[in-house]
Amino acid sequence: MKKNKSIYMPQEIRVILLEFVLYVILEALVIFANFRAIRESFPTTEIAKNKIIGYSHYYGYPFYFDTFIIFFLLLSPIIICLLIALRRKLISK
Amino acid sequence: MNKLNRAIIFLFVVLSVIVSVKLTLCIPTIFNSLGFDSQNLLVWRHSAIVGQLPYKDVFYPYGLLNYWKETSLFWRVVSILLTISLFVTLLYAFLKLFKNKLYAYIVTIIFYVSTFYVTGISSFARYGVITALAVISIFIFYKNTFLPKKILFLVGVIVSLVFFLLIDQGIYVILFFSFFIFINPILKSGFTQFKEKNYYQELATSYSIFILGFFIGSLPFIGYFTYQGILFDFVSDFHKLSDISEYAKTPYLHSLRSLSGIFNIAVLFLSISYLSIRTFFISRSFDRNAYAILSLSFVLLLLEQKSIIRSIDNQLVFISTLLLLTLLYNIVPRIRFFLKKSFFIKERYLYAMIIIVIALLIFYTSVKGLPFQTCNTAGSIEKISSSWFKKIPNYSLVLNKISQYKDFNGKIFSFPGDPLFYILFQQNPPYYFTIYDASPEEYQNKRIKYIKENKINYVIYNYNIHAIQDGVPDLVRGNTEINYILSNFHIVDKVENFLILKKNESNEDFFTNPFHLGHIPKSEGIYKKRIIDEEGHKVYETKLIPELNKFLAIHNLNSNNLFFIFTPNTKYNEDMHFSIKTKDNHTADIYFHPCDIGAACVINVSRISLFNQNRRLGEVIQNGDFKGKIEIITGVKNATIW
Repeated sequence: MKKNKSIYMPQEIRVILLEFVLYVILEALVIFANFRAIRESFPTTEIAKNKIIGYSHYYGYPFYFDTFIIFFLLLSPIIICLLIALRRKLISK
Repeated sequence: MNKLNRAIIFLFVVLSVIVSVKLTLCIPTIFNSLGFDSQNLLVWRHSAIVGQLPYKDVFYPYGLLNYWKETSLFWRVVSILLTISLFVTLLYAFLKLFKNKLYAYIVTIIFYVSTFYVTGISSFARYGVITALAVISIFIFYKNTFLPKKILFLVGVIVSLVFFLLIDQGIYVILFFSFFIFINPILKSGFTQFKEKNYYQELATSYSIFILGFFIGSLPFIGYFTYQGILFDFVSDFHKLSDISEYAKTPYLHSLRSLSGIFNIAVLFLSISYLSIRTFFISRSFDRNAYAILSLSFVLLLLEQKSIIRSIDNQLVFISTLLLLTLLYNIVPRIRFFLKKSFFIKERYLYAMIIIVIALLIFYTSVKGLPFQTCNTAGSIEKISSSWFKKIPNYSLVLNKISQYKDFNGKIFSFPGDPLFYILFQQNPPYYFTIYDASPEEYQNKRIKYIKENKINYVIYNYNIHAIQDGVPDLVRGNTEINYILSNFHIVDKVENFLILKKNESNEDFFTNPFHLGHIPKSEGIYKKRIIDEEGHKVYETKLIPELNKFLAIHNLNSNNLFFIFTPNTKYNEDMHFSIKTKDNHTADIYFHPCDIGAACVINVSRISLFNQNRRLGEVIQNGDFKGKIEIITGVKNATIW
């Protein structure tokens, strides 16, 4: 039976994948451990000129905090890959 | 096998046509509930039928298509054709993307099921626009480094059509094409195009033609708006759409608490991880499937941003399902292998199973009706309304009751959000139907103007609704409006959960108690204490409540334009509770979230329900232990502080 090449990953990619997963876990742990500190570093929502009272104004949440957290999580693979690539480049030099 | 393929595609198209026609003719089950959202949709339908103009006569955060289709057979047909084209476009894309036909059919079936049973077809008709355009455009982008000028112009025209007909989708489509025009040459060149000089020239030309196409496509709509005299209203409403994000913001990280939200985020994370690893470590050239993953990820990312503000997790499931299936096809080659040479099921049996599943879907959607749609009262707004009256006697009881009053002039006002009454009383609704839509103070003033201009004598107050949305009390969200109502109307009757309020002839009022201010005093302290220090005049300062009460007993302090500032010197974990007693023996109980040590909590007394009329302060009662500074300030412009 003819084997499909892409089923088998080269050794190097496996190491990168493992490193990637470790970074993701580390990132999740760092966010989890510092969740409150990150939240408090964001400013409380201001009642601006139009005097809107929405959820974040009434309950005192920073307006962009969850946007920041979710987008940071979603886009972190790009940052992690960049870090891995840089680290590998530095080591190979 | 070719005949079988043709039969399957034909069945998929038949299913798409049935679903699209029924979507327009049937009534979404959302209308069975009495939420303000569903009532708003009904009143918009009613407004369209009685000839009111969107943006000018009624607030309308959507595009023209949905408004026009209520009154015009032509636009109803356009709406049906649009939904059919979304299904057919995606079917075509699947057949092109997945060379394995069986996989393409399985993807299509899973897509239909997730759309029918999780997303809902009406949501698909909305969010499917950006999805179908994104998926189909990858075939054009994949073929060209820079899109040919004619295509770019056409894309600009299509984008403008989508923008004016379906505003929110139009914004996403603009963002999508702007991003892909920029990124496509880079992807095609393996990330080396940045270095080319002509890249920037070509990019500038591409954007210019795209914008020109958009402008030319906009002309008929600009002409229509000018003819109707609503161009300014459209621009103004569009500008104000940004306010929605502020008052519609949903609870924190809600997506991580719902199954569909977690699914969407997990799939998006996997896709971005796949694209990143692939680009950095495997191959910098993007094949067609990688393009598909990138475009679907970009669309999902755009919509996820909306979902963080206003939860649409369920509506996005069909996109994340498509993304997951495309991703699986790319990263699990065993799928292709298994489908090519199945050890367990012969290929023709798989085909037979697919046909049976589609036939069942056709049967259920045509005979049993669509999920989340009901077809038993198809047709006009009048039919929906009359069926509703029978279901909800409270509304007709109120109608009968008010109609009997001798001084009733035929017009009512609903607070906080039962706009259905405007249909029942056959009157034109206010520009903003509910207090939720009118959360900004400027909009509340517009509703107050409506009460005054229409000489409304009766207000229908649904006291069962404490918070119309997201747990924010209506007394706080719509404070300006409710204060006007409380000070200008009084209770004359009660029908089930509705209070009937009548316009005052004398200076009487009523108020509600207690009053929960949430985090507002804290926020106002953080951002506006400086203004109070600059503008205000300190009337009194103390650390002891008995001293304060002695001062209040001697002096006649009016509540108008008066501010209390509480600055604690110890940490409090629970809400603070103070009561203010007036000299005419009324009491307001005020709760608010405590401030940090040394930080000021600012309370604008005239925002409290009891003080919607000017009253003299008699006594402050401390409930619980408060240690810190209490100040009384006057002279600050009321307009500055909430």
